[in-house]
Amino acid sequence: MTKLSEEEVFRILEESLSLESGEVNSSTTMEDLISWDSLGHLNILVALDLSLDGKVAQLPGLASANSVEKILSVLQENSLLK
Amino acid sequence: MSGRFEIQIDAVSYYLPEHVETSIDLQRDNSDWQLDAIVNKTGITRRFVSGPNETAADLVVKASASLFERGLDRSTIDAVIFVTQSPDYTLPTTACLIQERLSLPTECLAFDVNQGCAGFVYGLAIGASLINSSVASKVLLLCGDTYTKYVGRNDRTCRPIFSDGGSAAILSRSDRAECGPFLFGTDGSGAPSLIVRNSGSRVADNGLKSNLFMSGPDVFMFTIREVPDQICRLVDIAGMTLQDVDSFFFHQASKVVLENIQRKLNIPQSKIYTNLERVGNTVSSSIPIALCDAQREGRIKKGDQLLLSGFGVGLSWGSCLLKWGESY
Repeated sequence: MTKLSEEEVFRILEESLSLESGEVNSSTTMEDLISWDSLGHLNILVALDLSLDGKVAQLPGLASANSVEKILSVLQENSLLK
Repeated sequence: MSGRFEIQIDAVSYYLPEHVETSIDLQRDNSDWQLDAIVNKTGITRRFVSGPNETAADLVVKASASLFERGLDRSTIDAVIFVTQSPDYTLPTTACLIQERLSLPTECLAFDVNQGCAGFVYGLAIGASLINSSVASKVLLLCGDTYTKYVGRNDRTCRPIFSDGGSAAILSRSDRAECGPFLFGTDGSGAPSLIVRNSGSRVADNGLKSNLFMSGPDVFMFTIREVPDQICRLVDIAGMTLQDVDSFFFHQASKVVLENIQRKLNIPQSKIYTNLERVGNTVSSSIPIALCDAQREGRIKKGDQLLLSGFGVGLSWGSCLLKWGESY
Protein backbone atom coordinates (compact mmCIF):
# COMPACT_ATOMS: atom_id res chain seq x y z
CA MET A 1 0.00 0.00 0.00
CA THR A 2 1.29 3.44 -0.94
CA LYS A 3 2.15 5.63 2.04
CA LEU A 4 3.60 9.11 2.25
CA SER A 5 6.24 10.50 4.54
CA GLU A 6 5.75 13.86 6.25
CA GLU A 7 8.33 15.37 3.89
CA GLU A 8 6.46 14.04 0.87
CA VAL A 9 3.24 15.59 2.19
CA PHE A 10 5.04 18.93 2.62
CA ARG A 11 6.30 18.76 -0.99
CA ILE A 12 2.80 17.90 -2.27
CA LEU A 13 1.36 20.93 -0.49
CA GLU A 14 4.12 23.20 -1.81
CA GLU A 15 3.58 22.06 -5.38
CA SER A 16 -0.22 22.26 -5.06
CA LEU A 17 -0.03 25.81 -3.70
CA SER A 18 2.78 26.99 -6.02
CA LEU A 19 5.15 27.62 -3.10
CA GLU A 20 8.92 27.46 -2.80
CA SER A 21 10.52 24.41 -1.25
CA GLY A 22 10.63 24.68 2.52
CA GLU A 23 7.65 26.98 2.89
CA VAL A 24 5.42 24.23 4.33
CA ASN A 25 6.14 22.47 7.60
CA SER A 26 4.19 20.62 10.26
CA SER A 27 2.94 23.82 11.88
CA THR A 28 1.66 25.49 8.70
CA THR A 29 -2.04 26.36 8.69
CA MET A 30 -4.46 27.56 6.06
CA GLU A 31 -4.38 31.04 7.59
CA ASP A 32 -0.62 31.29 7.04
CA LEU A 33 -0.77 31.03 3.26
CA ILE A 34 -2.73 33.22 0.86
CA SER A 35 -2.67 30.51 -1.80
CA TRP A 36 -4.22 27.95 0.59
CA ASP A 37 -7.80 28.96 -0.10
CA SER A 38 -10.67 26.72 -1.21
CA LEU A 39 -9.19 26.42 -4.72
CA GLY A 40 -5.77 25.66 -3.27
CA HIS A 41 -7.35 23.05 -1.04
CA LEU A 42 -8.88 21.35 -4.08
CA ASN A 43 -5.39 21.23 -5.61
CA ILE A 44 -4.11 19.57 -2.44
CA LEU A 45 -6.91 16.99 -2.42
CA VAL A 46 -6.34 16.08 -6.07
CA ALA A 47 -2.57 15.83 -5.60
CA LEU A 48 -2.90 13.66 -2.49
CA ASP A 49 -5.42 11.44 -4.29
CA LEU A 50 -3.01 10.97 -7.19
CA SER A 51 -0.17 10.14 -4.79
CA LEU A 52 -2.22 7.71 -2.71
CA ASP A 53 -3.69 5.60 -5.52
CA GLY A 54 -7.13 7.16 -5.27
CA LYS A 55 -7.66 6.55 -1.56
CA VAL A 56 -8.31 10.18 -0.67
CA ALA A 57 -11.94 9.90 -1.76
CA GLN A 58 -12.48 7.62 1.24
CA LEU A 59 -11.08 10.20 3.69
CA PRO A 60 -13.77 12.89 4.06
CA GLY A 61 -11.87 14.40 7.00
CA LEU A 62 -9.37 15.83 4.53
CA ALA A 63 -12.00 18.18 3.08
CA SER A 64 -12.03 20.26 6.25
CA ALA A 65 -8.40 19.75 7.26
CA ASN A 66 -7.20 23.35 7.49
CA SER A 67 -3.68 22.71 8.71
CA VAL A 68 -0.77 20.46 7.89
CA GLU A 69 -1.13 18.91 11.33
CA LYS A 70 -4.74 17.91 10.57
CA ILE A 71 -3.84 16.51 7.16
CA LEU A 72 -1.08 14.42 8.70
CA SER A 73 -3.46 13.29 11.43
CA VAL A 74 -6.08 12.06 8.93
CA LEU A 75 -3.41 10.22 6.94
CA GLN A 76 -1.99 8.72 10.15
CA GLU A 77 -5.43 7.53 11.31
CA ASN A 78 -5.89 5.76 8.00
CA SER A 79 -2.42 4.19 7.96
CA LEU A 80 -1.36 6.25 4.96
CA LEU A 81 1.60 7.94 6.65
CA LYS A 82 5.04 6.33 6.73
CA MET B 1 -34.32 1.02 -9.29
CA SER B 2 -32.82 -1.52 -11.61
CA GLY B 3 -35.54 -1.84 -14.25
CA ARG B 4 -35.51 -0.66 -17.82
CA PHE B 5 -38.32 1.38 -19.33
CA GLU B 6 -39.32 1.52 -22.97
CA ILE B 7 -39.33 5.28 -22.81
CA GLN B 8 -37.69 7.82 -25.04
CA ILE B 9 -36.99 11.51 -25.04
CA ASP B 10 -39.05 12.76 -27.98
CA ALA B 11 -37.49 16.19 -27.91
CA VAL B 12 -35.35 18.40 -25.74
CA SER B 13 -34.83 22.13 -25.74
CA TYR B 14 -33.49 24.85 -23.48
CA TYR B 15 -33.45 28.56 -22.84
CA LEU B 16 -30.73 30.67 -21.23
CA PRO B 17 -31.21 34.23 -19.95
CA GLU B 18 -30.05 37.04 -22.22
CA HIS B 19 -27.59 38.55 -19.76
CA VAL B 20 -24.14 36.95 -19.97
CA GLU B 21 -21.59 37.46 -17.23
CA THR B 22 -17.93 37.06 -18.16
CA SER B 23 -14.66 36.94 -16.27
CA ILE B 24 -14.35 40.68 -16.89
CA ASP B 25 -17.46 41.24 -14.79
CA LEU B 26 -16.08 39.08 -11.99
CA GLN B 27 -12.76 40.91 -12.03
CA ARG B 28 -14.47 44.30 -12.00
CA ASP B 29 -16.35 43.40 -8.81
CA ASN B 30 -13.44 41.53 -7.23
CA SER B 31 -10.08 42.99 -8.13
CA ASP B 32 -8.27 40.63 -5.72
CA TRP B 33 -9.48 37.44 -7.46
CA GLN B 34 -6.92 35.44 -9.46
CA LEU B 35 -9.23 34.79 -12.40
CA ASP B 36 -6.78 32.57 -14.28
CA ALA B 37 -6.53 30.21 -11.32
CA ILE B 38 -10.30 30.20 -10.88
CA VAL B 39 -11.03 29.49 -14.54
CA ASN B 40 -8.35 26.81 -14.55
CA LYS B 41 -10.28 24.97 -11.85
CA THR B 42 -13.84 25.70 -12.90
CA GLY B 43 -13.37 25.55 -16.66
CA ILE B 44 -16.15 28.13 -16.86
CA THR B 45 -15.61 31.39 -18.74
CA ARG B 46 -19.14 32.76 -18.78
CA ARG B 47 -22.44 32.40 -17.00
CA PHE B 48 -26.02 33.30 -17.80
CA VAL B 49 -27.76 35.48 -15.24
CA SER B 50 -31.52 35.89 -15.01
CA GLY B 51 -33.00 39.36 -14.73
CA PRO B 52 -34.47 40.67 -11.46
CA ASN B 53 -37.98 39.69 -12.49
CA GLU B 54 -37.05 36.62 -14.48
CA THR B 55 -37.69 33.29 -12.75
CA ALA B 56 -36.86 29.68 -13.45
CA ALA B 57 -40.48 29.21 -14.53
CA ASP B 58 -39.98 31.92 -17.17
CA LEU B 59 -36.93 30.07 -18.48
CA VAL B 60 -38.65 26.69 -18.78
CA VAL B 61 -41.76 28.24 -20.34
CA LYS B 62 -39.53 29.70 -23.07
CA ALA B 63 -37.72 26.39 -23.48
CA SER B 64 -41.10 24.64 -23.81
CA ALA B 65 -42.41 27.18 -26.29
CA SER B 66 -39.58 26.33 -28.68
CA LEU B 67 -40.60 22.66 -28.47
CA PHE B 68 -44.18 23.44 -29.38
CA GLU B 69 -43.02 25.67 -32.23
CA ARG B 70 -41.45 22.55 -33.73
CA GLY B 71 -44.91 21.05 -34.09
CA LEU B 72 -45.24 19.02 -30.91
CA ASP B 73 -48.90 18.85 -29.93
CA ARG B 74 -49.37 20.39 -26.48
CA SER B 75 -52.82 18.84 -26.14
CA THR B 76 -51.20 15.40 -25.77
CA ILE B 77 -49.24 16.37 -22.64
CA ASP B 78 -50.81 14.73 -19.59
CA ALA B 79 -48.10 15.31 -16.97
CA VAL B 80 -45.84 18.24 -16.13
CA ILE B 81 -42.89 17.75 -13.81
CA PHE B 82 -40.92 20.85 -12.86
CA VAL B 83 -37.59 20.09 -11.23
CA THR B 84 -36.45 23.24 -9.47
CA GLN B 85 -35.04 24.77 -6.33
CA SER B 86 -36.11 28.20 -7.53
CA PRO B 87 -39.92 28.04 -7.43
CA ASP B 88 -42.01 31.13 -8.07
CA TYR B 89 -43.69 30.73 -4.68
CA THR B 90 -43.57 28.45 -1.65
CA LEU B 91 -47.11 27.71 -2.73
CA PRO B 92 -48.82 27.11 -5.09
CA THR B 93 -46.82 24.56 -7.02
CA THR B 94 -45.02 26.30 -9.86
CA ALA B 95 -45.84 23.44 -12.24
CA CYS B 96 -49.52 24.38 -11.88
CA LEU B 97 -48.75 27.93 -12.98
CA ILE B 98 -46.76 26.55 -15.90
CA GLN B 99 -49.71 24.37 -16.96
CA GLU B 100 -51.77 27.53 -17.37
CA ARG B 101 -49.00 29.57 -19.02
CA LEU B 102 -48.35 26.85 -21.62
CA SER B 103 -52.08 26.26 -22.23
CA LEU B 104 -51.70 22.59 -21.39
CA PRO B 105 -54.78 20.41 -20.84
CA THR B 106 -56.44 20.79 -17.45
CA GLU B 107 -56.56 16.99 -17.33
CA CYS B 108 -52.79 16.82 -16.80
CA LEU B 109 -51.13 16.25 -13.47
CA ALA B 110 -48.53 18.80 -12.44
CA PHE B 111 -46.03 18.91 -9.61
CA ASP B 112 -42.63 20.26 -8.63
CA VAL B 113 -39.65 18.19 -7.60
CA ASN B 114 -37.26 19.89 -5.20
CA GLN B 115 -33.99 18.54 -6.52
CA GLY B 116 -30.87 20.18 -7.87
CA CYS B 117 -27.94 18.79 -9.75
CA ALA B 118 -29.32 15.23 -9.80
CA GLY B 119 -32.74 16.57 -10.77
CA PHE B 120 -32.88 15.57 -14.41
CA VAL B 121 -32.17 11.93 -13.59
CA TYR B 122 -34.82 12.11 -10.85
CA GLY B 123 -37.30 13.63 -13.29
CA LEU B 124 -36.52 11.03 -15.91
CA ALA B 125 -37.11 8.21 -13.42
CA ILE B 126 -40.39 9.73 -12.20
CA GLY B 127 -41.61 10.49 -15.72
CA ALA B 128 -40.69 7.04 -16.97
CA SER B 129 -42.47 5.48 -14.00
CA LEU B 130 -45.64 7.49 -14.67
CA ILE B 131 -45.67 6.36 -18.29
CA ASN B 132 -44.75 2.77 -17.48
CA SER B 133 -47.62 2.56 -15.00
CA SER B 134 -50.03 4.17 -17.50
CA VAL B 135 -50.68 7.11 -15.22
CA ALA B 136 -49.44 9.35 -18.01
CA SER B 137 -48.58 8.90 -21.66
CA LYS B 138 -46.64 12.04 -22.52
CA VAL B 139 -44.65 13.85 -19.86
CA LEU B 140 -43.25 17.36 -20.09
CA LEU B 141 -40.12 17.25 -17.94
CA LEU B 142 -38.90 20.73 -17.06
CA CYS B 143 -35.70 21.56 -15.23
CA GLY B 144 -34.89 25.12 -14.27
CA ASP B 145 -32.97 27.06 -11.67
CA THR B 146 -31.83 30.59 -10.99
CA TYR B 147 -29.12 29.96 -8.40
CA THR B 148 -27.44 33.26 -9.28
CA LYS B 149 -30.18 34.96 -7.24
CA TYR B 150 -28.79 33.16 -4.17
CA VAL B 151 -25.13 34.00 -4.81
CA GLY B 152 -23.29 37.00 -3.37
CA ARG B 153 -21.24 39.23 -5.68
CA ASN B 154 -18.07 38.52 -3.73
CA ASP B 155 -18.55 34.78 -3.25
CA ARG B 156 -15.49 33.30 -4.91
CA THR B 157 -16.69 29.72 -4.49
CA CYS B 158 -20.15 30.04 -6.04
CA ARG B 159 -20.21 33.06 -8.34
CA PRO B 160 -17.67 31.77 -10.89
CA ILE B 161 -19.63 28.53 -11.26
CA PHE B 162 -23.39 28.91 -11.16
CA SER B 163 -25.40 29.92 -14.18
CA ASP B 164 -29.16 30.15 -14.75
CA GLY B 165 -31.01 28.04 -17.28
CA GLY B 166 -34.13 26.11 -18.10
CA SER B 167 -34.77 22.99 -20.14
CA ALA B 168 -37.79 21.16 -21.48
CA ALA B 169 -37.97 17.54 -22.55
CA ILE B 170 -40.89 15.43 -23.69
CA LEU B 171 -40.97 11.80 -22.64
CA SER B 172 -43.14 9.16 -24.23
CA ARG B 173 -43.43 5.41 -24.58
CA SER B 174 -41.35 3.79 -27.26
CA ASP B 175 -40.86 0.22 -28.38
CA ARG B 176 -37.29 1.00 -29.36
CA ALA B 177 -35.51 3.16 -26.85
CA GLU B 178 -34.53 1.93 -23.44
CA CYS B 179 -34.25 4.08 -20.36
CA GLY B 180 -32.64 2.59 -17.27
CA PRO B 181 -31.55 1.04 -15.08
CA PHE B 182 -31.47 3.86 -12.57
CA LEU B 183 -29.41 4.11 -9.40
CA PHE B 184 -29.81 6.80 -6.77
CA GLY B 185 -27.97 7.81 -3.64
CA THR B 186 -28.69 10.16 -0.75
CA ASP B 187 -26.58 11.37 2.15
CA GLY B 188 -28.44 14.03 4.12
CA SER B 189 -25.52 14.34 6.54
CA GLY B 190 -23.82 16.34 3.80
CA ALA B 191 -26.69 18.83 3.47
CA PRO B 192 -24.74 21.67 5.17
CA SER B 193 -22.14 21.45 2.39
CA LEU B 194 -24.52 23.08 -0.10
CA ILE B 195 -27.36 25.05 1.41
CA VAL B 196 -29.32 28.29 1.45
CA ARG B 197 -30.08 28.76 5.13
CA ASN B 198 -33.24 30.49 6.34
CA SER B 199 -34.83 29.94 2.94
CA GLY B 200 -37.73 27.82 4.17
CA SER B 201 -39.68 27.25 7.36
CA ARG B 202 -36.64 26.45 9.49
CA VAL B 203 -35.32 29.82 10.56
CA ALA B 204 -32.33 30.38 12.80
CA ASP B 205 -30.16 33.20 14.04
CA ASN B 206 -31.42 36.56 12.84
CA GLY B 207 -33.97 35.03 10.50
CA LEU B 208 -32.55 36.75 7.46
CA LYS B 209 -32.32 34.66 4.33
CA SER B 210 -28.73 33.66 3.64
CA ASN B 211 -26.95 33.38 0.35
CA LEU B 212 -26.00 30.04 -1.10
CA PHE B 213 -23.18 28.40 0.83
CA MET B 214 -21.04 25.73 -0.77
CA SER B 215 -18.07 23.95 0.76
CA GLY B 216 -16.13 23.19 -2.42
CA PRO B 217 -13.77 20.63 -0.86
CA ASP B 218 -16.62 18.70 0.83
CA VAL B 219 -18.70 18.58 -2.35
CA PHE B 220 -15.64 17.59 -4.38
CA MET B 221 -14.79 14.75 -1.99
CA PHE B 222 -18.38 13.51 -2.01
CA THR B 223 -18.43 13.51 -5.78
CA ILE B 224 -15.24 11.56 -6.36
CA ARG B 225 -16.19 9.16 -3.57
CA GLU B 226 -19.74 8.33 -4.67
CA VAL B 227 -20.21 9.02 -8.38
CA PRO B 228 -17.57 6.74 -9.97
CA ASP B 229 -18.64 3.90 -7.70
CA GLN B 230 -22.31 4.34 -8.58
CA ILE B 231 -21.53 4.42 -12.30
CA CYS B 232 -19.52 1.21 -12.08
CA ARG B 233 -22.38 -0.48 -10.21
CA LEU B 234 -24.90 0.81 -12.76
CA VAL B 235 -23.16 -0.63 -15.80
CA ASP B 236 -22.59 -3.86 -13.88
CA ILE B 237 -26.30 -4.15 -13.06
CA ALA B 238 -27.07 -3.54 -16.73
CA GLY B 239 -24.71 -6.33 -17.72
CA MET B 240 -22.48 -3.88 -19.51
CA THR B 241 -19.03 -2.37 -19.19
CA LEU B 242 -17.94 1.24 -19.32
CA GLN B 243 -16.62 0.53 -22.82
CA ASP B 244 -20.19 -0.19 -23.97
CA VAL B 245 -21.18 3.41 -23.24
CA ASP B 246 -20.92 5.69 -26.28
CA SER B 247 -21.17 9.00 -24.42
CA PHE B 248 -21.22 10.14 -20.80
CA PHE B 249 -23.36 13.10 -19.80
CA PHE B 250 -22.36 14.25 -16.34
CA HIS B 251 -23.83 17.16 -14.44
CA GLN B 252 -21.67 20.08 -15.58
CA ALA B 253 -20.35 20.80 -12.10
CA SER B 254 -16.89 22.16 -12.83
CA LYS B 255 -13.78 21.18 -14.75
CA VAL B 256 -11.96 19.82 -11.70
CA VAL B 257 -14.88 17.59 -10.79
CA LEU B 258 -15.34 16.23 -14.32
CA GLU B 259 -11.60 15.66 -14.77
CA ASN B 260 -11.41 13.64 -11.60
CA ILE B 261 -14.50 11.56 -12.35
CA GLN B 262 -12.92 10.79 -15.71
CA ARG B 263 -9.64 9.87 -14.01
CA LYS B 264 -11.37 7.61 -11.48
CA LEU B 265 -13.35 5.82 -14.18
CA ASN B 266 -10.45 5.76 -16.62
CA ILE B 267 -12.66 6.64 -19.54
CA PRO B 268 -11.50 8.62 -22.58
CA GLN B 269 -12.12 12.36 -22.64
CA SER B 270 -13.64 11.97 -26.09
CA LYS B 271 -16.59 10.10 -24.58
CA ILE B 272 -17.41 12.83 -22.08
CA TYR B 273 -19.54 15.66 -23.39
CA THR B 274 -18.88 19.04 -21.81
CA ASN B 275 -20.26 22.49 -22.48
CA LEU B 276 -19.58 24.09 -19.12
CA GLU B 277 -17.03 26.55 -20.49
CA ARG B 278 -19.69 28.47 -22.40
CA VAL B 279 -22.81 27.58 -20.36
CA GLY B 280 -21.64 27.25 -16.74
CA ASN B 281 -23.21 25.08 -14.06
CA THR B 282 -26.95 25.41 -14.56
CA VAL B 283 -27.82 22.90 -11.79
CA SER B 284 -30.85 20.76 -12.71
CA SER B 285 -30.84 21.67 -16.39
CA SER B 286 -27.15 21.02 -17.07
CA ILE B 287 -27.63 17.46 -18.38
CA PRO B 288 -30.57 18.20 -20.72
CA ILE B 289 -28.79 21.31 -22.01
CA ALA B 290 -25.75 19.14 -22.73
CA LEU B 291 -27.94 16.55 -24.47
CA CYS B 292 -29.51 19.25 -26.61
CA ASP B 293 -26.15 20.75 -27.57
CA ALA B 294 -24.65 17.32 -28.27
CA GLN B 295 -27.53 16.48 -30.57
CA ARG B 296 -27.21 19.79 -32.43
CA GLU B 297 -23.50 19.17 -32.86
CA GLY B 298 -24.06 15.65 -34.14
CA ARG B 299 -22.25 14.14 -31.16
CA ILE B 300 -25.10 11.73 -30.42
CA LYS B 301 -27.27 9.78 -32.80
CA LYS B 302 -30.14 7.34 -32.70
CA GLY B 303 -29.18 4.11 -30.99
CA ASP B 304 -26.25 5.54 -29.02
CA GLN B 305 -25.88 4.20 -25.50
CA LEU B 306 -25.67 7.16 -23.15
CA LEU B 307 -24.96 7.31 -19.44
CA LEU B 308 -26.39 10.24 -17.50
CA SER B 309 -25.19 11.14 -14.01
CA GLY B 310 -26.23 14.03 -11.78
CA PHE B 311 -24.84 14.80 -8.33
CA GLY B 312 -24.78 17.59 -5.79
CA VAL B 313 -27.10 19.38 -3.38
CA GLY B 314 -28.79 17.08 -0.88
CA LEU B 315 -26.39 15.46 -1.01
CA SER B 316 -28.02 13.53 -3.84
CA TRP B 317 -26.74 11.57 -6.76
CA GLY B 318 -28.39 9.59 -9.51
CA SER B 319 -27.31 7.85 -12.69
CA CYS B 320 -29.04 6.01 -15.49
CA LEU B 321 -28.48 4.53 -18.89
CA LEU B 322 -30.40 5.87 -21.85
CA LYS B 323 -30.45 4.57 -25.37
CA TRP B 324 -30.91 7.66 -27.51
CA GLY B 325 -34.05 7.47 -29.62
CA GLU B 326 -35.56 9.44 -32.45
CA SER B 327 -35.43 12.96 -31.11
CA TYR B 328 -36.16 16.26 -32.78
